Amino acid sequence: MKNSLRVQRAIKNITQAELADLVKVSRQTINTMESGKYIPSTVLALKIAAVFEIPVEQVFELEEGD
Amino acid sequence: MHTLHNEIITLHLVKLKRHNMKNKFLLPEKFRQIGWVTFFLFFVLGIATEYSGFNIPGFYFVNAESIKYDLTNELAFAGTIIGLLMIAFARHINEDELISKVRLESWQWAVIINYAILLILNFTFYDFGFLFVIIYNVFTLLLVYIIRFYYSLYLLTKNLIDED
Repeated sequence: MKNSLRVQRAIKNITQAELADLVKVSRQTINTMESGKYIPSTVLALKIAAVFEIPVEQVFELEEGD
Repeated sequence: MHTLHNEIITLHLVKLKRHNMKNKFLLPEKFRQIGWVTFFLFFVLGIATEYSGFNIPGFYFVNAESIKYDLTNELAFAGTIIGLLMIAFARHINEDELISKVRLESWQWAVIINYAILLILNFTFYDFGFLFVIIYNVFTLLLVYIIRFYYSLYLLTKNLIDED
């Protein structure tokens, strides 16, 4: 699964730590997701999309092999 | 009508909260320190009783045939296990879904390593030697889990610091 977290954060101009605070996870979780090493739960994915105020598919999308 | 609406909102919030509290088997954070202290105290007591023959004075029972049983090693064994359990099940400061995943992976790892060690020692130790292996095997599952779990967390933190 690919994600555009880094881009969306840049658009909203928030740091990893701020996003982590908003969705109630640790900074490690956001960082690990951005580097593609962690696939979030559906709940977390929806929360993140809600913070960016865009549909979840715009933040996370399937890639080949999924 | 208004109250009903409020009630529905409250119910909804309760549901959300429950969902966040996924890992209900965990102890409060402070049990990590309590666990380490407990582990070391009873581990030292265990070494003292196994290797130096130390027994807590008066801490024994006498059975029907008047044979005296010292309970110091039982106490040390129980205390060591309880200490390790407290460390293993103490909530992490940043307990979230990533940490839950690290926990599960660490348990899988610990079970595999534990039984791999047991299977190897099964063919290298016999009789009483194997009995000791079984005794130490009680601790290895928890120890391997704790080492693997904290090592994974260390790597996660290290990655974070490297990126800054």
